[in-house]
Amino acid sequence: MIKIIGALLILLSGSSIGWIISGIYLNRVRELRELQLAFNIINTEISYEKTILSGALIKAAESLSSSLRYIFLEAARGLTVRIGKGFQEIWEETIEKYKEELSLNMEDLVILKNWGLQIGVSALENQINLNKLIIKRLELQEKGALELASKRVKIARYTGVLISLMLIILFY
Amino acid sequence: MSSELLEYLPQNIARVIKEERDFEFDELIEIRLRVNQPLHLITYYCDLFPFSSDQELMEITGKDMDTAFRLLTRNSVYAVERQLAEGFITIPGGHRVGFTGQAVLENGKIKLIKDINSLNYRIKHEIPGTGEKIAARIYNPEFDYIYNTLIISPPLCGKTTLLRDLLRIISDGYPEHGIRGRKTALVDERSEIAGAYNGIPQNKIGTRTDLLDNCPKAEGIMLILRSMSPEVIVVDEIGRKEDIGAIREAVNAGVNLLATVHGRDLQSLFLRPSIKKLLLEKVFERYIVLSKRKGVGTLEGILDMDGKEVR
Repeated sequence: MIKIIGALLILLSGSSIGWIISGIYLNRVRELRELQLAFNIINTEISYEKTILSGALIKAAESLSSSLRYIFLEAARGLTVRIGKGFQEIWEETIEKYKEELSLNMEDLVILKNWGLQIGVSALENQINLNKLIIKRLELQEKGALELASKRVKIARYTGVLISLMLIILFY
Repeated sequence: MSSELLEYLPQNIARVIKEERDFEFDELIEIRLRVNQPLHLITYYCDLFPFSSDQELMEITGKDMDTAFRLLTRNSVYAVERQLAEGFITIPGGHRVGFTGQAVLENGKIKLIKDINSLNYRIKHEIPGTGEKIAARIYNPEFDYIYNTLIISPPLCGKTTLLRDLLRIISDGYPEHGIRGRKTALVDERSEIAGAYNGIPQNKIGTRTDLLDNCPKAEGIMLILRSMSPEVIVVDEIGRKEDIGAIREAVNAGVNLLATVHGRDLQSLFLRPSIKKLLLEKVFERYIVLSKRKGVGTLEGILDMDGKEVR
């Protein structure tokens, strides 16, 4: 009886690890999609209503879940509370603070940070182009992330199950 | 001076102004920042150059200027493009901040001003009651009619303060003088009169006032005429060619007008071709002339359409 319970525990743990790893790939896709929606909202706010940056970030945050939401809200707060920092600095610091909680990779984070270099500092036309550019780049990242996920999600899940089965055979 | 204004100054400068004891905040008219020059404060009574904590004159650095500009644009240059071309930004509360720097031209017109080297924070003073003595003199009780009125003065003589208070009086009514409240529309191109923040007026502009904020006067007057059926339209600082056409439209539509213009006196306006046309057409029936001869807001006279003093 103990052996059966032990075997089940190993199987459960191994499978869970596989599911967690696959979840990282799927979360990245979800986060990249959410970000595209968020930047679309920002672009609409800026181009149609000329909403100031903090307001646009707050509107965009409403469409986001998890840590991405906090990044946008905290950056907006950094702009409204006078702390003597430019947006680029505030944005980078906020991304750095929350990056461990995200599934985005380094390349995704660099794209996000680069947006902070130019936003708010030039004329409307440039801002619209900048927003369109980041949306396009996030689309490409999402495409790549989807391809990667389709390859690795199943592998990660199967590997989890197979390794746990191997361990069970070895032990018993 | 309200603390909201200090939010738009770099912290080190705001601190020095707060700590300065040689004047009362309410006396402050302008705060001037010039790169590599000392901080310059102008009050009703004198000019001041405050000291920083190390007993040196508080000198403005390029970094201070960058920070101030970032605070003024709220990190959103795109949202104040028009103001950047016009050379000033209005901040919540209706305070106007003028600036100079390097002009960028497009088709011979200023597209924007970059590399800002000088900022002038002009502090708004809302003084309810300033228009009470004047209101009765721009009102015709026989026909229950507000005269088309033009307030004339050089800068910093209280034009906008008086305009704001007359607007409030006309909108709310002034029963002591038999003036009933009227549907009033304010086209506030520079957000100075209503001091609107996100479109909501922060100043007292009257209960019957509809506000069109941050809109060019000429277009705004036409829009208001079409949509809001006002009895009185109020605008600040007329003078452009397109303003004149819109003013004619409004007056011909039977709407009364209350406006301001920069000028020393009535005669000096005849030197400005576009305004001269309105004067010759006798569009305005009352002229209020202000100066600061005996302090800001000195009433030099109220004239009728022929330039004769009205008692």
